[in-house]
Amino acid sequence: MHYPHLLTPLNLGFTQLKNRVIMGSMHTGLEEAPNGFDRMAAYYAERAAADVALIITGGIAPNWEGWVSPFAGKLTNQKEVRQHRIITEAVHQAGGKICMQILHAGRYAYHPFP
Amino acid sequence: MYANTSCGKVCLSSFSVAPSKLKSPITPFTPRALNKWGIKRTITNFVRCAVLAQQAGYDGVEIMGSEGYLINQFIVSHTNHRKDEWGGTYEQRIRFPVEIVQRTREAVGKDFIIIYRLSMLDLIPNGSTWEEVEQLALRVETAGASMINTGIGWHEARVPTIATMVPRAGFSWVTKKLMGKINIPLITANRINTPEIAEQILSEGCADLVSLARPFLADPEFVKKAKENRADEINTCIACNQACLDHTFSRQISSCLVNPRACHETELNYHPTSNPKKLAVVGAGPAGLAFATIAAQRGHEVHLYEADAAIGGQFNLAKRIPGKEEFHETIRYFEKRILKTGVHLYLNTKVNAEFLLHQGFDEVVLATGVSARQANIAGEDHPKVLTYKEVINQQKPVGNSVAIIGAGGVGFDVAEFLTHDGTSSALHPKLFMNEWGIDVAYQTGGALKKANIIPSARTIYLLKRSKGKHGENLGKTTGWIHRSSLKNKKVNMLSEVTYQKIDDQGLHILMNNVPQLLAVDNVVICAGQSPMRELQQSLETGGAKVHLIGGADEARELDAKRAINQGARLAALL
Repeated sequence: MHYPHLLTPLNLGFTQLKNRVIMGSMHTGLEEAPNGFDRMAAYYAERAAADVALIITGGIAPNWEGWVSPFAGKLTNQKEVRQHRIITEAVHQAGGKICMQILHAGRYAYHPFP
Repeated sequence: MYANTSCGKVCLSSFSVAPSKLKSPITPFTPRALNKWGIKRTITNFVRCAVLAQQAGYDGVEIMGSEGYLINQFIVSHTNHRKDEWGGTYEQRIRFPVEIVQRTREAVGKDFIIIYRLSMLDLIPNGSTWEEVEQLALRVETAGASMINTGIGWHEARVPTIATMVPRAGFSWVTKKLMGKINIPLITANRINTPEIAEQILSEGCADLVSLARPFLADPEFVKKAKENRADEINTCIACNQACLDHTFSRQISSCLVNPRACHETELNYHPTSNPKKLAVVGAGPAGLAFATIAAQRGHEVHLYEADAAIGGQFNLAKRIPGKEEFHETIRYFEKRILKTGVHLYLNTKVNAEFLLHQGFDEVVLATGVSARQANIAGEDHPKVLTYKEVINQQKPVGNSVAIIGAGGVGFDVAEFLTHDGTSSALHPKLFMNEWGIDVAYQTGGALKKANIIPSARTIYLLKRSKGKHGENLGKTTGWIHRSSLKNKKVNMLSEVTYQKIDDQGLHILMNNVPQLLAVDNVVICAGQSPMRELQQSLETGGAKVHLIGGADEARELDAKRAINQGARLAALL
């Protein structure tokens, strides 16, 4: 093996990561775009299929106060759960794992309409 | 990390919340301080969010506790001035994140990943001390986190943490300090862009895992190619930020300068063609390379003609600028792609219209790039005048004092090039840490110290005709770094300059209508560029179907993002 440390699986007890490479969180703007969830599903699934051990999504707010910008992604109700399922199903089908980042921007939030 | 956003005339009040009513230097709004009830509600919202994520099928959550966001604002005294049980002592300031992790673990059960992203190096005044970082890591582990990820620098920190001038793996030493102190796996991040550097980090015991974000925009198959021993085929992230973070900052959808398909997977695809054509591409700069390799990958017969002895075009200039060495990687990637896709490459080959018209090409793509414009100043033919190509590519000798005419991207690059003499801190972590005032001994909270600037190799004047701040049109997330870097090197930045003449004495200018002499040894012209497309007309007259891409199409700024995107999109269509 050419990258023995990098490609060693990691056992977390209840689950196993297939190697040591995580795709870190990054906001893409798809979170707020039309068809954004379908587009994110394609974007993440392509990377999951190519063997990244674990993906972390861009930041999703736990309430609207925590929005990085107006109408940014948040997860606060069942309707939003259904949208996120598009992503998780695509990633799992591609053989990957995915975590959602919870981000509350605090004073970095951009709320231009008081 | 980010540039300041301006407030405009009216600073509105806001819905944003924080531990204390203290405005950040990078947002226009003053937050409201959360009351105790608001804090409890916010914790409950975090927990609800994690539970909903679990219901949505996620394998876990990452709780963002770094980069200066809300949780981080509670942790440090710089932003938490509370007098109640959520402020004051460190133990009370970390109560907010610890309760979030603990209550999330209780709510989601044990078979769900909880990553806590911990700010291990705040890079702000009065940030956390190293002892506090360790204390928080232990508390987060006990509270039920599965792994801890590394956060480096608040967004308002005036230190580059991920841009291309940051040395590869430049911050893995921070994560390493925590190795062995806790029992759950540690993830390290920042400027890890090749499998080699990732392997090195892990083999040296800096972390248990590596996290890469932008490199997965550049190449979705990073891990697969590493596994199959095809690392030389990876489209490497050059950490330019131009299509990812700069887009986010201006509220556009992200993509990637070297991979325009990133985040556009549903609309930009390179399917095999059912109608193979014989195509000529003139010019092997970024636009020509992107077009040629993608068209060949789709099954077209592609002939790529380059007048120079090497491929890369303007990237051959960029890669020589201190802090832009990563551009080498893109050239390496395209060299490999040319071989893989079977592009017929002809170097040292300047073609004319007659030749192209007689080779039986179905279509001709002109990616001939740009020519540097003259500044139209009296004495521009004086021997002390140099073009930027002569300075950077041909490495002509340059004296101790230099005036640079034009302060766009190229002017900044030339200034960066000329302030250095040999050593680039992007390749020397120690120099980098000193230059940006990062205290690797971690003696203070936030780990900042006085910067130790290596003086400029030359006296430099960076001049422009227009009004306003230098470098305003540079990238949103990197422009401030270039400005700081040149300011640190004491580059003289002058605006609203009228150029009069160049002679043996130097460059004569008018500032506020007052004549001045800059007694410089050399003058470098960076006055923009014009498209080179002289082949177009004769080809079209001869009946050829011609496409213009890259600088040959639009030369206002040297714009590799636009060039590669345009080349790729045309190649996907033909």
